[in-house]
Amino acid sequence: MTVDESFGILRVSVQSGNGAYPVQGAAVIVYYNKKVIKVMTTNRDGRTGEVDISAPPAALSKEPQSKYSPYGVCDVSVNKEGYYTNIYRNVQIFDNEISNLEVRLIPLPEYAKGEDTFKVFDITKHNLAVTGGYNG
Amino acid sequence: MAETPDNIYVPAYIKVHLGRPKENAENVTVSFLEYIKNVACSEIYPTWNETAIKTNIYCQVSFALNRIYTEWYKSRGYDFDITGSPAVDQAYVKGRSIFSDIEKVANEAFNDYIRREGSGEPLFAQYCDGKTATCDGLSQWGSYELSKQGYTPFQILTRYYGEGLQIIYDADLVVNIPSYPGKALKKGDRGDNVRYIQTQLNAVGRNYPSIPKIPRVDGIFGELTQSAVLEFQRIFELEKDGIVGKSTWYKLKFIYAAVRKLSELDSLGADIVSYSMQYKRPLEIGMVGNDVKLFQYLLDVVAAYNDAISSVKVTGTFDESTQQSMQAFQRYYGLEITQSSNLATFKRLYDEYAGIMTVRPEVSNSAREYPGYILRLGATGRDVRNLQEYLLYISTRNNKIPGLIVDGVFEKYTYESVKAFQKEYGLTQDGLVGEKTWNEIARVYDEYKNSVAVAKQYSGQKLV
Repeated sequence: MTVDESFGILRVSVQSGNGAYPVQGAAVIVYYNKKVIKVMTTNRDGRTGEVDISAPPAALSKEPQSKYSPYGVCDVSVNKEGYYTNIYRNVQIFDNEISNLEVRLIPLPEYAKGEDTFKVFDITKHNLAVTGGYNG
Repeated sequence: MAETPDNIYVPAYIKVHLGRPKENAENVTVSFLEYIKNVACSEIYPTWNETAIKTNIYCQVSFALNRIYTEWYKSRGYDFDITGSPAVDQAYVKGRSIFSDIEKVANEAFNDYIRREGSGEPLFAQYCDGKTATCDGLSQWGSYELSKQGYTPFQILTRYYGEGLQIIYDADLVVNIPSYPGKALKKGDRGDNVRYIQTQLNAVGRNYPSIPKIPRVDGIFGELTQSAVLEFQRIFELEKDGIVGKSTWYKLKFIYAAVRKLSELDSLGADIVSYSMQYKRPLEIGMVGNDVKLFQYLLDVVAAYNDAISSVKVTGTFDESTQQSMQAFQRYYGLEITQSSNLATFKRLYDEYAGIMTVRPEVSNSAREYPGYILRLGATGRDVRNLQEYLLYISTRNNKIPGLIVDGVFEKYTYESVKAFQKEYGLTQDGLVGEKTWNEIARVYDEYKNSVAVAKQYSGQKLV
């Protein structure tokens, strides 16, 4: 990464029971441009360390332009034995901003079938970056 | 002179439909705080300044409260409070990341809302991006521009919504979420609010072991309480100032509620597991029985781990809310949605429940929390049984405490055991188990269970 490149920070925290307890020892894999850039494990508080993720300069989110995406994206997978594996696609990262991915894992049923053990979250484009955004 | 309208209550939880109203989509129940954070992160950019973020959050809060206050969706037969569709309401994206800079503002502003002078109703604060669409309300990009020019949130809101606005700060939350006392709790403070946060920190600390246990829940905010607060703040991404301001107060409430829920389910489960785990008959509205209770209990356990399934009161009577929860379960797991329960639903429900039981952390080593009422001679029930279990265990480690029968009835052996314990640990020997005595019994039980030698000097004796 060159000195001029802008980036944001991703942090992941993993819990279960709607936040009642942290999940320790979950494998967190971060992908950028489809390649694995970091593998982390959650500590006893359910937290990982930080990862720097490339993001376009902040100036792009301070003007109403739609030519360039104002944020960078990465994918994250979270896996812990006994729980569904959560996969997050297009997690948004802004220049010089911290992005906290709060993962809630759901325990697998007793007789889990292979294909059915994933939960995928496709993060939709940020509403302000979508042309024609209107509310009400 | 016009009367000041009453302030409304902010709901602790909100049910969000993840699509347009008529769309077949999941309904998730999340804390109002989480909801606002998610909406704010989905609607505006974290690189904006604090004024712009705050102004937009006031609109988002007011919009949502208006939907709830007017029962917009409920009155139309829908069983959710609001949708997550920006085409109809405001954007809510399940699983999205939360930006720190927006979170900081949302933690403070999630229960602040706008209304017009003389009206109790939260303002129906419509807004749009202001670049590709204009509307009769706030322009998101416009608000950002004005904030850069130095206008305050109130001025910006007045610009878009007209004169006569009021911003109501710090609205109370509904029912069993006591409101922030208005002033931060810090070292040196004393009182019920301090005792309250100490109890909660200890309960959360059982699941989050980095949080040091506060040995005496005495209502005095000392060094140990401050350490626990700091750890809590560190784990939950709050400002690490060691004082309990609004952000920490509410985050602690919501985490405690989740911790408490699992603990209550454990207690409830102790009774229910004695029921037959077999599917007996299809259950429908109006039916009563132990099999209904079991069904409700299984649903409630699954709901505690999945925000797409609403929680159920385990009453033994199959009512509409039970049916709703069952249908949310069926929807989530791709089962046929039915009016009454069936074998397929029961089997899948039991499977999910069994899976949960396999992974839940081993908290059974710890004593339960104080049940909230004084246990005394003549009392009966689950809480008495728990008390007896703890005392019995302690009696096997300390022969100053006489043994007793664990039968759920507070009779003379239990009474004698309690008094002996109180004598041994320097408590008032009245044979009553209030919060102080319970917490001390729990503490000693936990320490024995965790094989840590307890060296208490009350009786001048070293205990093994």
